[in-house]
Amino acid sequence: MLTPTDSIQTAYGQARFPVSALVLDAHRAWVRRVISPGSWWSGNQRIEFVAAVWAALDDVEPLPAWVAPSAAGRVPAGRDLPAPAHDIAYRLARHAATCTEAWYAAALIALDVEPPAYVELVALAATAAAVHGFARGMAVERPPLPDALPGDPDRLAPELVPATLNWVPVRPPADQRASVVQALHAVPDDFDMVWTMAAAQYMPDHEMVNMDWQRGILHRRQMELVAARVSLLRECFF
Amino acid sequence: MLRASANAVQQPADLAAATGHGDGNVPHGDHLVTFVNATMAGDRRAILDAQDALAMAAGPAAVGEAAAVIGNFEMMTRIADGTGARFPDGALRGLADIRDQFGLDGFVSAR
Repeated sequence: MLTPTDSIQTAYGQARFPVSALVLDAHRAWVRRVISPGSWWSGNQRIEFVAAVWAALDDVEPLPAWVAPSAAGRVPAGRDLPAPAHDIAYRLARHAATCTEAWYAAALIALDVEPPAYVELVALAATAAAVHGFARGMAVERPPLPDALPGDPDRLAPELVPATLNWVPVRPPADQRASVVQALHAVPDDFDMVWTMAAAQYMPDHEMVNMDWQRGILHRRQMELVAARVSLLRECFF
Repeated sequence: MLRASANAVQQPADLAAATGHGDGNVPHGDHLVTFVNATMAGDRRAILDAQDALAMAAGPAAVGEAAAVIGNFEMMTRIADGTGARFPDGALRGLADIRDQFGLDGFVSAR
């Protein structure tokens, strides 16, 4: 039976250049987190969603932003996830910069869920895109995902309030932290996963104020050049 | 962040490198930008060539570090755009020159 450790070794063991222990540990933890029940989606559903994100990123004939894969007959049969979740996976993977507040509101209606269940999908799409981007840069395969762990979603959400700086609700008090930080407050376990990955792939949150920061070979300004180029190519205003 | 981190070491960056041109006055900036371009385009041959050039210039560990940053901002852009993240008004005003230089206000993601 494939384990998260096997998964990471299978993928990143083929790399031509060294992978830091921090990234290995963070991505191993991510594999374990994906296959585990979340707050609103089961392990099988989370695996299916990540697979849909990766399939969208691999799509050599991508759909335009305004065409949902369910409307184009591209959602496979026999799935655990509802079709609107596949549409969300595709939009966040391929056309995230075109998302609007109206699209978000329609997505909640189509999914028939409360905002925290949508936020969990955003966290999954974002982290799946991170692993995809890293693997592609290293010219290795993405980690294969093990079978789902048993169990049901816990359906627990912290107290949430509307925010000015995000569409999604956040923990009170709203808008006291950066919008990209408070964005995933609704799903604490996935929030922790994202910031563990960010600390490994980029820098720890508490070092963000240090503009002269350097952990390995690359200085902060070199990392910021990479960040700026990626963000511009993704047409991400933020 | 690019401007602030470059200013921190008294080596002001040329932000035009973010558009894919030049080295931005950042050490090995040209190799880093080429590596990002190749990775985002998904061209395996170009990725391998860019890896080799970056490793030769900056050291083998630079490839893994740069790939990790690419992954990180593939993640952060989805979080920002999927949750409608906005800047506070004061921060937006402070970015006026960058918004003009790169035409950021024309992005659908401008909120």
